[in-house]
Amino acid sequence: MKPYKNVRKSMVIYAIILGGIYIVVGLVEFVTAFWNWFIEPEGNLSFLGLPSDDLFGGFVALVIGTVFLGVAPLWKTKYKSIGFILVGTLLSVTFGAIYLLIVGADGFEAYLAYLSGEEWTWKWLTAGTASSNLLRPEIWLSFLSAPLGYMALKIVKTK
Amino acid sequence: MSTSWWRTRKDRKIPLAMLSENEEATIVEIRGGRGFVRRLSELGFTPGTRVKILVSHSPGPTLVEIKGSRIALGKGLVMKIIVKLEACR
Amino acid sequence: MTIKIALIGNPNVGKSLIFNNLTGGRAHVGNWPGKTVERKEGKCIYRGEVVEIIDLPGTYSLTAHSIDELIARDYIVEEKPDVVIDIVDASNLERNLYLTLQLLELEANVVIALNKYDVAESLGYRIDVDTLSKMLGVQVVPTVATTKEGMKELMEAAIEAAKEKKRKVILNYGKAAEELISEIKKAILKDKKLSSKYPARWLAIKVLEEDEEVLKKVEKSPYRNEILDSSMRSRAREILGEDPEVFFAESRYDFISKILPKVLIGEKPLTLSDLLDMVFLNKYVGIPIFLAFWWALFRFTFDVSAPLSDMIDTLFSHLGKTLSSMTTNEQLASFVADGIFGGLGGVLVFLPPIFFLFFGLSLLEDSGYLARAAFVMDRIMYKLGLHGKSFIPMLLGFGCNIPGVMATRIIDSEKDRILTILINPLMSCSARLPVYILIGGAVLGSYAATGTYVMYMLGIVLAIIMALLFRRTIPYFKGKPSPLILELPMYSKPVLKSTLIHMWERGSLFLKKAGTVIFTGIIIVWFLSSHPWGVPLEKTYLAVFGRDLEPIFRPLGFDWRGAVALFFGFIAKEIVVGSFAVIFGLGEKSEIEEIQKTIRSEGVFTPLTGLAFMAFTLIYIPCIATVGAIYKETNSWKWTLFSVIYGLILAYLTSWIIIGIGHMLGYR
Repeated sequence: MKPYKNVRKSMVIYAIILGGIYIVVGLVEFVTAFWNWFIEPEGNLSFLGLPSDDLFGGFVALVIGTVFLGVAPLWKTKYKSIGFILVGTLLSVTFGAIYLLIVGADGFEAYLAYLSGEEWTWKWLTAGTASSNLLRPEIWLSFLSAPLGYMALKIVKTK
Repeated sequence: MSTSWWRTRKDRKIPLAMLSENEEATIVEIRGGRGFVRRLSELGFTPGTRVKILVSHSPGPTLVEIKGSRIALGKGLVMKIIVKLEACR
Repeated sequence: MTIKIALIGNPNVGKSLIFNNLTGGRAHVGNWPGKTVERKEGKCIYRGEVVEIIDLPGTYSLTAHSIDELIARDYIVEEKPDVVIDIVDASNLERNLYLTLQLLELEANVVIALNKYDVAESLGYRIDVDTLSKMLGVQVVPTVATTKEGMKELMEAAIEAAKEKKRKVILNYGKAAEELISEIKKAILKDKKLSSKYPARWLAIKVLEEDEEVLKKVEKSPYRNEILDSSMRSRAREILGEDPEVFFAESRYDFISKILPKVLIGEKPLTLSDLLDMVFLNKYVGIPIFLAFWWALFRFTFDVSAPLSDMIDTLFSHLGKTLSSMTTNEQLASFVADGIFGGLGGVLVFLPPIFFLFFGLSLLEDSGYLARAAFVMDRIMYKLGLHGKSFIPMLLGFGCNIPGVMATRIIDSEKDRILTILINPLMSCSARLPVYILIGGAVLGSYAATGTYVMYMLGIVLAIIMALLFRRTIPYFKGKPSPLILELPMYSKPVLKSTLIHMWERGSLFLKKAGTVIFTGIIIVWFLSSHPWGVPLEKTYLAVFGRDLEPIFRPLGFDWRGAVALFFGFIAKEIVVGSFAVIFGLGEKSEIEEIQKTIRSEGVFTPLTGLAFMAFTLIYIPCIATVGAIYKETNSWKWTLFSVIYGLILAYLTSWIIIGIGHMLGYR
């Protein structure tokens, strides 16, 4: 296989940590949503303030976490696994962007409501459409993974 | 895998399906209906061409590298492409 | 004098981009006569010359194997364009030159656009353009379509070639083969009609290759026997040493592999694409990653576009009200507000999600990811009796079934295509969502969102069941789906402009087809619900009609109001909510909450019957426009009728089963 490029061990650790966080987030979101949807809908269970209504969002977070964890072989300097960092950050940033866009859309809606006479509130920032709001961890996690992805990309591009 | 297995394998003609990821071989013939054979020929699958397995989801589609391109082949197709492994690797 | 230029090339070489660059993005899009393949034509003026550019379908070769290839080939032979620009992917020279050789054999006037030159360079390749040009006997112009480099030079080369028509290189197949070819050529030349229309040498080679379309033409020739005798397969195989079509394909690649070392320097390293594919095509995470992207597409399509839809909704009801207040004639006022503006609003409100969906899908396609998705989904699709590529039309179906049905064109096998078309309506399109929200929100209480998700799942589950069922029971579909053969192109950064163009082309198609039908439907609803004028709701044409339908639906628990809504849902699902509003006399543009309250207070649906109603809405035919699309794609009344009828039966059955189970569990 190709010679080992300067993939620093710190990047691998960083990716694994991100992966772990995503897995936890995903698990919580998935389980609470499952509970709230199918088992006891009046309950409104929720952990750590995470969204409790987004089954698929939870699933996606689990996927992102798994991809990041796939980086593990890089520890043994298998350059090939750098793809996992790239794809992990791609997914992470994609969803971060989408959740942000949804927050923006909510803001726009709030603005439209304001224009048609309703009172202006900032509620849309924290209680968005289908669990998308500024507090959504996936948004912040995507900011954290972007630099990692950028570094990985630079490494791949330099030949 | 034992060396004797390897020795018998290398001279026989086997379907592409039996190769594992990253193995390379040379196409010997393509079995199947005329149209299908031609379609594959057009894409570069002709006797004498080197082909390499990139990803194998067997049973399921396989991704091969041939003539500089990556082609995905559905299940069943790889059984119809007969190859032989090179003697020296 | 107009110069006619045809563009041709392998799929994924950047042909569309070059077409857009040369024509400025203004294209006349239609269909090739009698076929379902898209045809794009454009014009441009270069240095005073009027140039017509036609975009031929992307193909790997010019055999008679598929519709795309035949269309391209027939065009070149019959229309005889002044120049054929062959767009070659510089980062994949070996394969792309195969088509070039076939073009030269067809005696087309070729100019090569060596595109993706930047990609080739970044991979470490260097291409000797002059030597390549000399060896092939045609002009070669390096281009980078994404940055518009080389476009001018390409145009100039093309125009020059149009005016000059140089002599081309003939590929020598070796003594034995050439003798055989001459023999057949002699026989062909005797037929003046045939040999004046098509190049004789090309015909001879095609006859040897047993090209179906050429053989058809030869059958009609008075010299048929002579031609066919000299080209008999057994004899040919003996002379050539193997099957003719394999011999010719191999010889062409042989020629290419002799050219390549003189022309191309560099080796292929482990690329970004390889690294990405290691993850995207991974046995375990490949499919979950695809599902994640799918979910992202969904959220993007529905949630981010929502305020735009609301904006359009408010805008049109506003306009309607203001304009209608300008007249004192009640009927006219109502017609303007509820009919016209209600209708327009009803259609346009769906544009944002449709455009967002196509934008996202174009991104996935242009980046190259969609082919990977086809790869990972193939195993599952195959088990369900569907072709690997079927998931794309199904994905589209979630936005709107019309482009979903049309997208089945990417599937080559007729059987697989029709099967995919048949189950496409079960993909819950965006027009059905408001119905779920309305009914679910009205009677399902806190399970409202769950109910909606269940509908989507139900659609998918039923699609799977139906696909398996049709495969096993209907003789036409018996057998396995045709296997996947798909090239996975290098990943590339999608160009914003062309993504937007794709989005626009597909979105405006929806507007034209579905839009007119939906608009008409809304006008009809308005008419039937407000006439005879001035009469109480129960006596309108609408109500009378509903009561007639009621008996059919009573076993399912729907009364005349549900029946009417379902009927109008047949015209277009977009009308259903409005129909309910009208039925309750609330005026077409009322708030959802009002309608929901009325549903509850009047007991139109119970939670159980509401669920059954949602299921019925999911399953029966999405709208007349879809039926139209199905007819267009299948070209058969039989299949179209079948899809409508089985949809109705399945819908009725499923709702009935839901009611049955509900009764057993003690619900009403």
